[in-house]
Amino acid sequence: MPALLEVKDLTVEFQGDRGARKVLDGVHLQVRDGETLGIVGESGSGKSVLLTTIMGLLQPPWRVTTGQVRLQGRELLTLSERELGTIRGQELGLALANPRQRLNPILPIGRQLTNVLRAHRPQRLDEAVARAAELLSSVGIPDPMTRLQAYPHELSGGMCQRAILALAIAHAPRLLMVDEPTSGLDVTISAQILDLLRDAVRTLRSGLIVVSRDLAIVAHYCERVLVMRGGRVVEDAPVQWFFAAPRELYSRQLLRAAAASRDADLAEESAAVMNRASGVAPVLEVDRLVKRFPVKGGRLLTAVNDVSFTIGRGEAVALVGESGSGKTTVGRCILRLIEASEGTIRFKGHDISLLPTAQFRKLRSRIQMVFQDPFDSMDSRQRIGDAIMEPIRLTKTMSAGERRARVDALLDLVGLEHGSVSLYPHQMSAGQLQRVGVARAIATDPDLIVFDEPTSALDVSVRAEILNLLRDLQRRLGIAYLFISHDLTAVRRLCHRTAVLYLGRLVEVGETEALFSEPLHPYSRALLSSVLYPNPAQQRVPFALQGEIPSPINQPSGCTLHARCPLATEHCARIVPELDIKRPGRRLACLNVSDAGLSASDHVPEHEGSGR
Amino acid sequence: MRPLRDTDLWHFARLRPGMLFGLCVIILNVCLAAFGPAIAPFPTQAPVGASLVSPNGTHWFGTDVSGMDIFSRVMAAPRIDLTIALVSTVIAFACGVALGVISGYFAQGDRAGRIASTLIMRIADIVQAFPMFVFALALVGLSGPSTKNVIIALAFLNIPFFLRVTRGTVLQVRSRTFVEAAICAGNTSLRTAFVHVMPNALAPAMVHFSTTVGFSILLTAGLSFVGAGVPPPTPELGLMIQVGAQNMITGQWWTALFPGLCLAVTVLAFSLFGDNLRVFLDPTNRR
Repeated sequence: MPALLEVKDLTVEFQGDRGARKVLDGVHLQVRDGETLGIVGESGSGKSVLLTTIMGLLQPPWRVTTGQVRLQGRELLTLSERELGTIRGQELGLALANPRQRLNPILPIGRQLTNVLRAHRPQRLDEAVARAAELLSSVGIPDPMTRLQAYPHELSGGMCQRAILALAIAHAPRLLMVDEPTSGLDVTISAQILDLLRDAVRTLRSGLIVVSRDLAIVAHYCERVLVMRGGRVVEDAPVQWFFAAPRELYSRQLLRAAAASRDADLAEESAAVMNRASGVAPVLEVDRLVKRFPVKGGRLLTAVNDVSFTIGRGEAVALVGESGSGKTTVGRCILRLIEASEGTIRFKGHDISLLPTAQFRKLRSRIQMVFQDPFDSMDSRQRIGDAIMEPIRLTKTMSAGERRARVDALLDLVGLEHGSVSLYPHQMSAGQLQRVGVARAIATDPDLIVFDEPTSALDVSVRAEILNLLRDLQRRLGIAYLFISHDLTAVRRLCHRTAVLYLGRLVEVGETEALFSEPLHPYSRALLSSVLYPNPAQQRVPFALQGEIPSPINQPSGCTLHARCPLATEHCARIVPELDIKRPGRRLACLNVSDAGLSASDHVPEHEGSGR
Repeated sequence: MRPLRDTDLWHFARLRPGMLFGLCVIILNVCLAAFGPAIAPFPTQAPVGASLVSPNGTHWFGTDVSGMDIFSRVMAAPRIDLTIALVSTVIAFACGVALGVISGYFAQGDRAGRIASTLIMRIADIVQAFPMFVFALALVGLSGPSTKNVIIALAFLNIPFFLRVTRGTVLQVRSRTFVEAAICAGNTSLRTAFVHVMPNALAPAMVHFSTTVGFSILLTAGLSFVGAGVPPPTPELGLMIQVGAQNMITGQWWTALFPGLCLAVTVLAFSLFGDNLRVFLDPTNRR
């Protein structure tokens, strides 16, 4: 049987100022009918260029030098733009990353869909509209007729990604290609999108290429995997074989980096940390923190609602939740980058929430922050050495020589060369820059560091290195961490305790391993069941919530989860559950999970209102 | 400036005729401003021959109604025109950028900051709404025509443009996380604004600088033309055009044409240079 898509010896060059550079080098690949191929590789490995080449969208300065791309036996590279136009969309469907940017912001999505539909098959507008509505409902967008009139900015990221998929499958293509289908989406939404994608391809019986840097996605949704590095195919193997026994060294490195191996000693250490911390005042006590933002129309958006937690000396606490849950807002309130509306924040027993800014500035050396995007968090006109030295110079009294020695010591600590001090941020890689960010944060010997998604902008292997670094530093320096992340595998690897945030409220707090192995709150269960691990043998027990996270402006009454929760009873719509200790070391805000005896039962209880 | 050092300005200009032309004319102007009066063939502020001689071997651009050599006066003009334009633009740049940084940085700050920011913008609105020529005439009416008054009037006029352009960029830069990182490092608000935000928000104002110099030359000439600029008989393009315009009607075309051409070429050169500078400073426009 001829392959659906066959790429032979494809070489693509980038024509730059300093001569040509190969971005794809002799790539071979095949996709059969109904097969799902996963292409993994880190940024710069050429995976996106490969997709663009197959689509025939390559623009100068990129240029195909040799090779063939055959779709159902037909050579695509020599086709005219006009012939390609009929193939694109009809035979080949493409859905790229960053859904919001891929949709035209000034057209309603209905128009965009009907345009695509009518471009290939002339039809009356009302027919096209009906077909567009059908497509939207097939990708799980509720109330499609109304949504057709929505502009992209009125839709959530997940909805935009669904709309993009609807565009890509509008003409039932023979081969669908998706680039990073879940980047920028929350875990719960990612799982929904991926399931949707798999179902769509099954119904259409078409081939699918998934390009991703996330090995876990490949493990669960693909049949074959292609590993790319520096424009070359490193390994091409069935998924089961690949994850069981990768042949190539690079594949093994990738797998090891992606694996969420938890240090065995973290649990013991966490007990020790808690014992040590019990006598003295905790580093940070957040008590009934509330943050409201005014929004248009004079209404208030409650981003953080009644959040209380503590962090002990040298303890790593994770704050997890979907985007819009308010986790970043909590971090910014603690650092006084924004002012809390209500509640107190005590640092080593002293209330810092009401300190005047000038006095709080003296405390800055004690509380530091590491940011999400390493490039964006560096002043591009400041040398690395100056960036690390700045907090020391502004908050400590040290001679110039002492400061330089300190910077060198810090560079050693985070694993960078001393020569880096004279570099500018654009001369470094993302991973190196994130190390600089860490060095800058630990420069003043702080007691607490707030990490705001420190790994989400990084490649798999770099992410693993940074996590190892953070773990190592924490053990050596005993700094308390507040680790804000939606990367749950990173949390499991690094943090002693985990707090789960939903719509600005804490729903569950507990020791990380216990919470991950047995989440009690329905939201924690949904969140954790959608985490994919890079292991095709992992059994997912789906625990799905309905719909998406509601807007924090219109919060549901009672328990904010009740409209999405499969365990909800009529009490849930009225009573706001308190965060209570439900078993040793575990606090929980749910009416229906009552005590230690009831552990995560899967049946829906008829009536379990605890009647508080 | 890092971008200037990263890539050679000359390499960039060589491939762009507009940039090259602008650069050459600007360099010529600067040289004339420095040496023009010294190397001019005739004295520039005294009659050197008969009135209204048409262009010939001795007086290349002819003479004006009072018998002064137009070629020599055109050569001497950049000293006064370029100085006025440069000084006024530098003042406008400094004030405009500083105010722009303050109004942009504090636009989303605490109450006092927001009030200051709004106040600055409203004052800029008022200045921009005020007709420039009326302002210059009023100034001249108060203290007589002088170079200083022209500079003040031009600087005042240009401050709001630099302010707005800087404020816009500052608002963008302000939302980047390195600003929060700087605050976490212990910077005060003012230090963050001027040490970290300002250098990252200068590029548009710098591009605007070159264009503004060109248009300031035009405006200087315009002010002289209506009698609100430098006093005669200073060798200044606007004055020469004004004097010459009366003779144009009677057929002595050279009196206003040559100064006018010089003015046009100079303004065009600064404009072209400014436009190309924007491309040069914007890394996304280059490969």
